[in-house]
Amino acid sequence: MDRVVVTGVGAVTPFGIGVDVLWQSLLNNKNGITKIKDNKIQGEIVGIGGCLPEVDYSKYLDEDKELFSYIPQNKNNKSFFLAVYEALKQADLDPRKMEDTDNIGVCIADRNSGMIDNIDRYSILMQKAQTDEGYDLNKYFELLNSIENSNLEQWNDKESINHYVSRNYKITGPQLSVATACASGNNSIGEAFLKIKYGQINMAIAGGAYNLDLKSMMGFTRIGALTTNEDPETACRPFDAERNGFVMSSGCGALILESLESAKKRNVKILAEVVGYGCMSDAYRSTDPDPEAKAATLTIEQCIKMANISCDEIDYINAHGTSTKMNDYTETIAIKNVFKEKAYNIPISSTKSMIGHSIMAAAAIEAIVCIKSINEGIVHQTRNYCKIDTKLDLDYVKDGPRKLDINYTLSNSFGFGGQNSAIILSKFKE
Amino acid sequence: MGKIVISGIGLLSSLGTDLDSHLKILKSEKFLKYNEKGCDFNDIVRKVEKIDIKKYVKNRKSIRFFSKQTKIGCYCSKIAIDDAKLTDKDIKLNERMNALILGSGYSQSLLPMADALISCVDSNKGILDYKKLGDSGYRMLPPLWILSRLPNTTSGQISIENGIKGLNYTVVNGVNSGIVSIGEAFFTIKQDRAIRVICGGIEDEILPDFIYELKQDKLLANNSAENRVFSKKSSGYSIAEGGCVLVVEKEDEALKRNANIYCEIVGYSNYYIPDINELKEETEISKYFEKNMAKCMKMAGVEPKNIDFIQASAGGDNLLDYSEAIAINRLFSKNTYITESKSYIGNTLAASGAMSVAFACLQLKNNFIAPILENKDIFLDNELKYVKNDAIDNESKICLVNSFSHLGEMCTLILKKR
Repeated sequence: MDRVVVTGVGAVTPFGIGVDVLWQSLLNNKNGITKIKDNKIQGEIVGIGGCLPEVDYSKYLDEDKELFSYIPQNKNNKSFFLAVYEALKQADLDPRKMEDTDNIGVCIADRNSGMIDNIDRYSILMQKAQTDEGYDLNKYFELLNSIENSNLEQWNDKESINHYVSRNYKITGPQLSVATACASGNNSIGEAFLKIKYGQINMAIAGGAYNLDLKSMMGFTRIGALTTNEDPETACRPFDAERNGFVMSSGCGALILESLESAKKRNVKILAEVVGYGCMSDAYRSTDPDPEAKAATLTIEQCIKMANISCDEIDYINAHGTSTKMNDYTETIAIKNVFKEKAYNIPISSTKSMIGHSIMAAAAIEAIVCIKSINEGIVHQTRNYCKIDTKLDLDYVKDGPRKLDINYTLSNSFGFGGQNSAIILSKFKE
Repeated sequence: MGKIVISGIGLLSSLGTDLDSHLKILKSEKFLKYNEKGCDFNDIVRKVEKIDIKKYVKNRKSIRFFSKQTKIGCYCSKIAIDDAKLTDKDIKLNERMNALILGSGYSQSLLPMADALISCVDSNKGILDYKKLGDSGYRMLPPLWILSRLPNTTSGQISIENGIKGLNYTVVNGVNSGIVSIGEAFFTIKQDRAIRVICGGIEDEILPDFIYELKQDKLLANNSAENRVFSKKSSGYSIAEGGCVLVVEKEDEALKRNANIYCEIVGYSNYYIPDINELKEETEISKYFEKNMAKCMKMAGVEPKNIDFIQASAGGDNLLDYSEAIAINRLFSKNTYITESKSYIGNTLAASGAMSVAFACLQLKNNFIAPILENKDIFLDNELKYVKNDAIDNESKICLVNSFSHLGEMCTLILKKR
């Protein structure tokens, strides 16, 4: 079985474009959460979040005319693509120049959200098709077909980020788009890791991408999962006693994974090694996590077992830490279940405390944060962790960034529907 | 490494709600192809029969937030698990080694949020009033509405209903979601990460705005009568609702229960065509299809002469169907029978590849090959061995199943009779 290493990382977050911008902002305890500047999100619908930065492709034209002369109308792919570009560049990898790309997998979690852009015109047609019993589907269809001079997005722009990346970099290898809600990024990295480990592919572009939109803001406001604190500065406060919901965010995290053999052959710098992956299902309730955190506990244990290390060797945990009452509680329970007394001595921080929860992208961005922590020997703090919740009594890195010699980091992600996933990244050693 | 087999199938399509109804039509009955010439929405989309979901769900309270996709998923899973003679006790024996990898639909209609939206349409100005939507309109959505819109809610609910507590993830690879989930299930068991995986694909309710957008992309037939598989006369796909769930597991686990083994999975390939948008010639696309099938055969350790029949991907798209015919011709010429599923059930999108696998299983198990429901103007008719007009009796041993997407994804599975 092959060892799997990370040779490139790229990120687009509310702080801006690039991993360095993200990392410096985290170390400076900055806040990436703002009022959402989208006139569709108004009234009681939660109006704060982490937004994608503005992107200007003209800046990249000199670097790569072929990639950046076409500007996608799809604002999501336009931003997400820059994270992949950064990661590939760091890995010194250009699949367009490779003879055979069958062995490169593309595993970036994202979702199809194109239709929401047509909400204005479709709503009016739906109204016209409404009947006493519901909606006349034939009539709605007829009305849609009567739309003239359609401004619908071009075919190319509706594609997923996986397709967009593969098309632009001429990658013929397998596609896997995983959707496990908030756990998606870890599952994508984990599945790509195992594909390389078992020799199915040599390399993978793995990660996650997400952009908040009206539909998600309406839905998550309605279910009561978002914070009602409308102050962007203090809204997101993982593990704090006054936390009351998560803050929706946007972003993309991309990692280049490859077999150690491949990285050595290419003589490229190795940033970290992926050594463990765990995934288990609560099978409890669609609306709530299991209060005993059984599956979350087993997920972490499975991950540690795969890494072939002991609990004592985990130096840092990048928590899922969403700032919801239940998640932060059950995650703490799971950590205590696994690490017992040692749990109190492991620094735990939440990246979401500064950039919010970018759902399918979150875990991928957090994996990148773990890699930076390993290489820089420092962990960022949990922002807004001020008031202690007596049930949450671990070390959540309260007082600023902390220097730490890290060999192994654990990154947790848990999602709606009882999804649990965890990965372990380690300092690379021969 | 032990063998990995398919031991249970749950199917729901426009043909029926159980395996017998599908088998009957495929095997012996003359099937009158859905032949509407109308252009109304209800003529275009093939719907599934309504199921009484209460009979198949333990926690009935949860039904209130189920989308149609979740209903179809829970139904198909229950049927597949029963078909595999799998009891709650069997699952509980090693519950964390029971996994779920499910392909999820990609139709993202806005109609499920219509009640909220239209209450905020300013009829005089003909615009949506976002202030009103945010103040009151969004409250017309049920509190748990967002759950029905998440792609992984169906897999989460299936795991809750059946106590599937191991690995769990949802695949959203467009029309290849279902077949990729089966291929990934195969790998997952090979890697000893699970002894059994519930897998397959479930499409969501098909609604007019989604169909309209597909039509804009020129993927749809003008009407159902113009949807013809492998035919020059076809004008595009016929879209349909449907779901298919399979139980894939280690053979010794299936044998312990004396389960009905349909076949063994021996090969899986999954590649992409990066220049799909630029390729206008069938011969260019066919090279990719050929590669995908060849790689799958290599993995399975079989040669073209060993393949008894091909469960083709073809569904009425001229470019893709002709490309597949050319690729089959290059690899198999006239030696291998060709059948398909989409002329019977339409293109069930995320479920379509899994449907093809299920159809192949039924044919392998019951020693027959179903005809394609087309016999005029067929691509390379004289050079290929299409099964036409009537089903043929054939004790096939190995079948190759294709699923090729208009977005460039390719997937092939090879199934072997046990």
